[in-house]
Amino acid sequence: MSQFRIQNLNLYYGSFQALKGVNLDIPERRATAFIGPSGCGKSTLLKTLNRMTDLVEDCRVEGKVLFDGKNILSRLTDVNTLRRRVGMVFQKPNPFPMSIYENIAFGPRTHGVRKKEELDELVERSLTEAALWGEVKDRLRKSALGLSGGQQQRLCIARALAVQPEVLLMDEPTSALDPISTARIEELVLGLKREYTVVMVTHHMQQAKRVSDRTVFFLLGEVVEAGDTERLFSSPQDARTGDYINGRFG
Amino acid sequence: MRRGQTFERLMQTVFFLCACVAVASVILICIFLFSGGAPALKEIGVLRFLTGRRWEPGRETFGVLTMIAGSFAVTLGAVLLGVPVGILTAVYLSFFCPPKLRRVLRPAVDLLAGIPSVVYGFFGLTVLVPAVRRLFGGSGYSVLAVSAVLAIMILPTVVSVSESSLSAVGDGYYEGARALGAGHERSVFRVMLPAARSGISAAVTLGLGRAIGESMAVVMVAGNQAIFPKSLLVGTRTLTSNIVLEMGYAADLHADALIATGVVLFVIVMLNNLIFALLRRRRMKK
Amino acid sequence: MKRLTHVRLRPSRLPVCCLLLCGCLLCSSCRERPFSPEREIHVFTREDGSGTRTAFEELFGLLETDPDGKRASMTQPEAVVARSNGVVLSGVSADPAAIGYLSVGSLNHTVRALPIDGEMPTEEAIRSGRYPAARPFSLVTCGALSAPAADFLRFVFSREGQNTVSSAGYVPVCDGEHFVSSGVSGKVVLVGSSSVSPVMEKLREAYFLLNTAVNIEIQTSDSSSGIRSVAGDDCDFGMASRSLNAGERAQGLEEHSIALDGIAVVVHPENTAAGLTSGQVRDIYLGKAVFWHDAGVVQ
Repeated sequence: MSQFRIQNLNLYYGSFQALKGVNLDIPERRATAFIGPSGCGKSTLLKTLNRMTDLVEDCRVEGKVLFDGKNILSRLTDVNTLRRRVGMVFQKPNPFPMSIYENIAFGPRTHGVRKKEELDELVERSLTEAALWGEVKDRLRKSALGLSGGQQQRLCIARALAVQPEVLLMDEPTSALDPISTARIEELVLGLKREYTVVMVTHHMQQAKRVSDRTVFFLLGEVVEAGDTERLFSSPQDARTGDYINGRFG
Repeated sequence: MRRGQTFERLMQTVFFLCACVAVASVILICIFLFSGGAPALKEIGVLRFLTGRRWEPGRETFGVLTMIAGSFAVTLGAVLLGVPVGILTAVYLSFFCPPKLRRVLRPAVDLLAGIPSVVYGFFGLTVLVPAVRRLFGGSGYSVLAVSAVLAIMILPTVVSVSESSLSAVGDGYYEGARALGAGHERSVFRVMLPAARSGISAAVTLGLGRAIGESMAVVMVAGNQAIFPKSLLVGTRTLTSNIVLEMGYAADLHADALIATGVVLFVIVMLNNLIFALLRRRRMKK
Repeated sequence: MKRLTHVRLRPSRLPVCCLLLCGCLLCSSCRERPFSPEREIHVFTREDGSGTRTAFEELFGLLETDPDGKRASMTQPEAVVARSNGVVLSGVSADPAAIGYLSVGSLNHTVRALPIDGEMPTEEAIRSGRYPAARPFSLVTCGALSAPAADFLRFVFSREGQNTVSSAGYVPVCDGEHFVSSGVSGKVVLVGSSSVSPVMEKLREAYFLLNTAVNIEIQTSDSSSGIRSVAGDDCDFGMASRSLNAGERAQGLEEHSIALDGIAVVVHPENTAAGLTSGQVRDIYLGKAVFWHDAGVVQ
């Protein structure tokens, strides 16, 4: 079952075309990786999935992105509800300058949860899912900025999970972290993909191999090849995919 | 490269001397204030000076309580009027203003900071005092008029410092908030504004300091009666306007008492800065 | 790729225009409330060191003496304190319910001088003493005068000088003799009362026509600071609009009365008061008369 169906998507930043004729299906409850060299459009496509491209000046989109059958690019879409269902984690961890509790509670509060008991429960559940609860349960009221880089990123994941999304978009989530934190987050994603649809942009092919079920290879704004991770890495169908995977260009 | 080194050392000395001049000026002012005011305080008695309700130079009675109350009242009024307007203006300039309009508005606000206080006083005298008189009665020379003038005077400080600190808050917070489904307004007011807390409290401290220290504009608009400001519509005298009004002709104990008034003012401003510094440090520790 | 964090907030133009329009209407409909005897009296006085204030309070019985001999003002504490004659003028001319006092020489058409005890402050009434509120303008000296200062003082008391006093709107003290300058050169500094300095400026101009070698500098503050200045040898003459008190005389200061000045009690042109008695003026300044009808004013 496809969670997302992208049909004939063209995206322009001003006069520059960042995405050309993208047709793609993203399966639910699986991890899909977007790989490709810098500037090839993978982050842009990721941001289209939760309409974060709206925040960029001079951005024009044509085509359709169907999420559960409905085109999210239409003007009638409630963007804030979309973003609740499709959460995002960024490359650089960005916890708010508030307490850990307040960070996690921000999302649910935005979407109407007021009762203290409900919020407490959501906070604990999200932090547990993000494998952070044990480390922070005694310092929930302390500032989130006092955590290490890896902990902050897990906090951001917990924050995104607190609104109970269906999809988790991750834009190079480990590129700013050390190897140990990276490993912990990859382990986390392996667990999360059982419950959520995960779409991850990554610069490291090995990460894609370790974590994802499907991989999509981008080049210069086009989808060159998409398929099961194992098959794509072992026997890529397009020559360019092969060249990239084997490091002939980067 | 020995020439380069000598030049470096020379410039270091120059900068050091400049810093010394700055620090020395402050120290000299402190010495002048405290040495001038101490004899008066000793003769009048510190407690009687601070808590005395009557300021009557003819009777050699010097009590600054009414002036402290006056300063406090107008500063509070200025902060209540000016700070919210200032912060909201800064929020507008940072997050809601179209870039073309911002290029006009920001310099306009900065221009306000360059207007001399006599001009503000004159504006208060010719526009605000009659306005208060016509709308609310009384003579117009009132705490309300002074607070309004002071609020306008502290606006440029509050706006520019707040706006700078709001712009310095990383875009990352904003993106994170929007990605969670929060709208633009919620992201600005619940995430960006609290993130700029320390810069904004610096803006408030600066504004407050300016309001307490203003003398010329206050003298022109306040009525200068040495009475307790019992309502918004009666006139009052602040510590600063007391000095301006009487320094020209004061003699002996009267003159020393005025310098002692300056000491009180100095202490109040120092306390203000200290409190805000402590608050900031406590917040940063968290 | 620029990040768009600024949203073009387009507040609907209609409500903003309505708000601005309402504001303009409110402001323009605000007129000064007209004078009526039911209105409260807005009292203006001068600052403590003002010679005009001391003279006014002496003449209208607003000073009380303490057991230790110190004199204190009984003017109500709610009176607005104006820093000079000019500020009294601007304050009273803007407010129909206001009353103030100032030097007759500073009067202009923006305010109305009231008859006190039936007399207007004309030169004749002041000189004859019928107008109750008049005081001498003095030049206060300390010790011997420098040559240019002495020459200037001679000019002030000469016929030409006293004619200048008269044409400036003040009352001359003597007829004086024809003045011939000694031709000396130098600098003369005068410090003091804002009431006296206008006539001193006129005297300076007139003296300059007769002797261009003397540079006369006039600094305006008030009587007490002028007296203090000359006692401290910081200037040649202190300008005072009140008489010296015992303490000042004991310092060896001398006062030379150069003109008589009336203190006019002024109100807004719309004020319907026909005149006030000294007792009524006193009651107003004591705070006993709160409304204009308390002072006997009718429509």
